[in-house]
Amino acid sequence: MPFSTSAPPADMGPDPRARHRVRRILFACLSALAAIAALAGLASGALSISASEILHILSHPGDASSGTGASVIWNLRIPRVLLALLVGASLAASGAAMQGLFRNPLADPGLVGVASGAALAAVAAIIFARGLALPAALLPYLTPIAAFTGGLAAAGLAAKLASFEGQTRTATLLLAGLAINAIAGAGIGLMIQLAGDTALREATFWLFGSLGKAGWPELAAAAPILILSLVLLPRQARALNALLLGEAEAAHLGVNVEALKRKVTALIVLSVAISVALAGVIGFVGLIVPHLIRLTIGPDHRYLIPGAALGGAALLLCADLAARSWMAPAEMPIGILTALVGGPFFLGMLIHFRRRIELF
Amino acid sequence: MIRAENIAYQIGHRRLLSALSLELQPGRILGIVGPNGAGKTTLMRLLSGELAPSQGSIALNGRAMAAMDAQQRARFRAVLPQAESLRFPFEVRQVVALGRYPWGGGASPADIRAVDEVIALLDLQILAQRHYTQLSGGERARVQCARVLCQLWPIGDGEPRYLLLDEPTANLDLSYQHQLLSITRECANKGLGVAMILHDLNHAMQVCDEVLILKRGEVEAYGATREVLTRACLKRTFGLDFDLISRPGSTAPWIAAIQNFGV
Repeated sequence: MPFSTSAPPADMGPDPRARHRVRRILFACLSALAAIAALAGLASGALSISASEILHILSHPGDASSGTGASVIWNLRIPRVLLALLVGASLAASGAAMQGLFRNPLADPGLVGVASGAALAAVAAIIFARGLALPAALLPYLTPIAAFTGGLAAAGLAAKLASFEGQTRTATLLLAGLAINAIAGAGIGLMIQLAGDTALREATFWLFGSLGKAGWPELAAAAPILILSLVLLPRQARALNALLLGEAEAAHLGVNVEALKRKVTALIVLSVAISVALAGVIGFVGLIVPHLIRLTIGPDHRYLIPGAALGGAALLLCADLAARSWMAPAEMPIGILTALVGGPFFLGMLIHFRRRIELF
Repeated sequence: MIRAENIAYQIGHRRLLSALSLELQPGRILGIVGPNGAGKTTLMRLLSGELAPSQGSIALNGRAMAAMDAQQRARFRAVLPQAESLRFPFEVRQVVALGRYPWGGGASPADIRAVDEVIALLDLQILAQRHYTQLSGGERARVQCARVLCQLWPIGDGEPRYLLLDEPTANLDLSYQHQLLSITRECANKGLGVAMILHDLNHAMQVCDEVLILKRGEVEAYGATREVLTRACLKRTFGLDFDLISRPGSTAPWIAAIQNFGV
């Protein structure tokens, strides 16, 4: 037989053990980065708190009322750091899963209309809430609830348009998402035209994202769902790997493709809608992080999804740190920061892939 | 045995396949030939369970195909489609290991042995750590072939299994065409049932036990290879004249289409 060899040749590239090592190093680095950024997030701000003080405060959780430092840490910074961690991890893991689902490295959770639907509903809630006679206790929750509902509705509409006789057509789903994004963008623009100054500033938050708005109550409501989705997504990793071969091929391998699409889409939409409800629209995290992780450790979703979650958490923690300190005491919307880095990165990817693959 | 009884397939009023029956026996190779658009791939998709027939029924080892779930089917039959569309940079070994999906993954000793043996069988050791996306079309075809064999590995164990190949030799050079067909024949001799769509009539003549000729969605002929691949039947099917040339040292004649381009 041609090219038959008994011993492996020297140019076979990295052996599987090297692959394991790269994975271990990457996971260790990302964990360390996330831990350092989290600690820095606790330490820095208008009131600077030293590492030893932080350790003392964290080890005495009962003393939340005992000093300004303790109160700042417990009431402001810990929820903020946890929010960055959870939202970053959810967005990036969702992005990784979605790229697998669409078999396209350029897919992003924002594409199916979730983020823009959520933003449209949130902005509408901000601007029209004043006109409604609602109990004051409800007001803080109105916007997140509207965002969540809007995100689900937009994704549901896109999915409904794309499904035909029990099959989901991926390209149609993307196109429907595109149209929904355009309509939502127009709606947001229209409402901003009508809005007053305060409403306008508040609406900007939803359009560009911030980790500074959500506190313990919102976090407590959202965290279980985000964590559940972070636990459930990796369970679909092997099926997603098979799906990369093609839908028919995955079905031939025994994957229930329609059930897989439904499950993964539901988890992604839940994660993204909740993330937007908590922190506004933070673009590109779901696109860039999975891509970088894939470049380092390959497309195997068993490692890609957890790796992306770690990377997303680390990235958002770092980005939040930058957003808070760049123009301190003013705060930069974190979505502007991620878009500033992510936009050029995305263009670079387009150029890179132009010669290598067909996008659809 | 995969047994199709009186199956037909239509989309709306357009009939892609008229009622036909066939049997795919363990240890036998069935060749499916015919002009473009004859319904060969549709037949393959029906036999694999990917499509449900509009009428008639298909049974795999005595069980109704429609009643089996995706994983059950995947343990008894593997399918090599005409075109591949993997665009993510898996290493070749990982792609082959995807074939172990219906058996639980790719990490058990049996899975690892299956992957190793299939890679060795198809001479893919030299490519095993390369990225799939960097391979040539022919190399990719061989890797996909290894993947589907891996799904049914080890051949000849337990309940009969079946391999459905859609133009497996399309992207391969002559020596790899020969390698693939001889591996397929070897596997069939160990008990694998194989159905494959072929365009090269000589491949059909040399490796198939039975041949089914499709034309415009209808069965033109079905039976033992030598009885089906006759001059008269081939002329009816393709509208060309053929010579069957006997060769010294071989009982299978050589099929040559008589073509005159006026050169």
